[in-house]
Amino acid sequence: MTRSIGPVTRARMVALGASLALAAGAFALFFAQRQTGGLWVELTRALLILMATFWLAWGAAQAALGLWPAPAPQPRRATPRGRCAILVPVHEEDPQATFARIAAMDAALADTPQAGLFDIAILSDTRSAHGAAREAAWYLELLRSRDAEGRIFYRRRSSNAGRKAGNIEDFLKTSGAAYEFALILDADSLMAPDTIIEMARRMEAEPRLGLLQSLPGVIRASSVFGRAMQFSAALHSPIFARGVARLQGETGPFWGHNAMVRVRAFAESCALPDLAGPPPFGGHILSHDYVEAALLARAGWIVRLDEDLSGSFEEGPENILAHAKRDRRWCQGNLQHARLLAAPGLRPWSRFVFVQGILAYVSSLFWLGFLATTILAPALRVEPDYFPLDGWSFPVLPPNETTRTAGLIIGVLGLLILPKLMIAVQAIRSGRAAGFGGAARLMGSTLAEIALSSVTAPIFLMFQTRSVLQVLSGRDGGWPASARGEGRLGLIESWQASRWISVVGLAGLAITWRLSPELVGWLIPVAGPMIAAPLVIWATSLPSRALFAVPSETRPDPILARQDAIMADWSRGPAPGTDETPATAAPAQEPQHV
Amino acid sequence: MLDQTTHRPDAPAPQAEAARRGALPDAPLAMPRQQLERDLAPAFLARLRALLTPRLDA
Repeated sequence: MTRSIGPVTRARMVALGASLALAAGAFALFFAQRQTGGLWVELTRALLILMATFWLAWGAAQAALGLWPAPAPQPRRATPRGRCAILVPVHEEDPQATFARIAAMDAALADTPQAGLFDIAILSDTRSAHGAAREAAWYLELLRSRDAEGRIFYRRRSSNAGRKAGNIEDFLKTSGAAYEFALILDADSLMAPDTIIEMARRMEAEPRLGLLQSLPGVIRASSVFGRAMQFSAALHSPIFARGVARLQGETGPFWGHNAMVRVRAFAESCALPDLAGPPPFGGHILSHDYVEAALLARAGWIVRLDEDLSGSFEEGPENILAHAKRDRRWCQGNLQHARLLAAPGLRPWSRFVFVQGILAYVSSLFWLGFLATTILAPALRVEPDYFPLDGWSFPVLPPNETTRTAGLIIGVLGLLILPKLMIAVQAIRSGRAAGFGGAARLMGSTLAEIALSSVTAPIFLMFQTRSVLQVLSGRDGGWPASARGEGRLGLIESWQASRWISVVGLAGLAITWRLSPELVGWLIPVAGPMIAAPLVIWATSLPSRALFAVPSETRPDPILARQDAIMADWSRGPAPGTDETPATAAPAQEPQHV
Repeated sequence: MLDQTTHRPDAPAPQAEAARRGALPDAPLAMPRQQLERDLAPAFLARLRALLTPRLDA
């Protein structure tokens, strides 16, 4: 009897097989019995490169899977009938900007025949008295301008137990029975009404669908770093997401926002317990979204990422420090998932997703460990045995360190750069390039993004390594407010936040010079950006419009213009509840300590 | 514990008004707490006890 292999299993086998084969190739490149650094050094180094290469290859395999044409979109079989609550959890956000997005979505939905199906609930976890006062004043302004009493709700918890997951749980326990669906947003989320209605339609069409995740595009970036991220999200993310969608089957991802859930399914399956012990590994589950997706799948619900859904937006960090600050939180959340790997009843793919999330951060330790052993290997050098085999009269030469390093760099660059180039070529061939300013601008932006990410990668390697070590040593990152808005940094601020990276880079280069001078040239692409980290962080935070055009700029969705108009309208005259203009009433941006 | 407080008598006027006019619909839904951690200790101890009890009794 033969059993046919489904497309999801086949995709998983191809991606895993290719990744393991490439990782094994890297291992073989760095491990042989007679080596310069001795057996144990070589074995350690080869194992480290095996793990690090697997992670890189896994990302490249997802891109390769995503490059295959997508199946035709689903037919729209169902008419949305169930009521839907649009949930906007907020925590020390700028209420003017957040509520302008809400007003824009409310106004856009009001123009559709399904307007009566949607309510909006602002769920505040803001603790500061000043923040709470501003929220209340702007909420009353929102009600007035949208005539939305009984349709747009606002409540502030006196205890923010469970953070965002607890905030949503609190809403569902209070009001969940009034709704069939809930669209979970972040404070910086913006969604087009057609997208929201299409998501409700798809939820209606598939009664087993517990959660539908859209792919949010990044908008409104203005700095060099922010615009490069925005460009990458617009060009690369749909392809990577299509690869993820091919691998996910019915066990898709939840990224915490811009996703619609079936309220009954979520309520039955997703009340998270606190984990035993103190943070960072115990206590509240920080990266709750991955866990909620796993719990929905455990209960038999479909969790799906539909990457074809357009009109879903979020804002991103505008500088490297804001990104590193967010990454610190994600790092702790992902490493905490190690506690859940053996959770009862989870689907194997859910467990694998947890492992993936952990690897995303731990891989930085593998790279750093590999670099360290490569630099130190000559100090541990053993005399090569040119005639290791009895009776064999020809000498066996040890492998050339430079050749191996060159081979590794070519392999790594291939795994990192080739997928991006292939995505750019595919965008040009499919006509998608028009949204990026045409083929020439797209290719220019792609090369600039590759150059920029090559420079920033060693800096992120250091921030990630520090985050992992902090979590492993038991340091809890807490729940800082998200850094949004303009992200221009001063040179002194950049220096203070990253001088330690410069010191590590200089020390690494000096040690290499002393122990393995032949490797200095190969180390420069890593050590150079580290030494220049304060300059890189400062320069990439500066505003720029030169490159990185994206469809949200060249063909903006009408929802963006609606939000702009509301913001402009609300910025005239004094802020509600004060005599100040909104710009001066806004709280000073939080210092970005990372 | 989740403390749902929307009306606070001591809140300033705009906040009290926002809490009153923004009150959520009253439609409670149960959310059973999920089990995520596999506590291996009780099962292990039970198995150990089962293994040792006949010998201790003997």
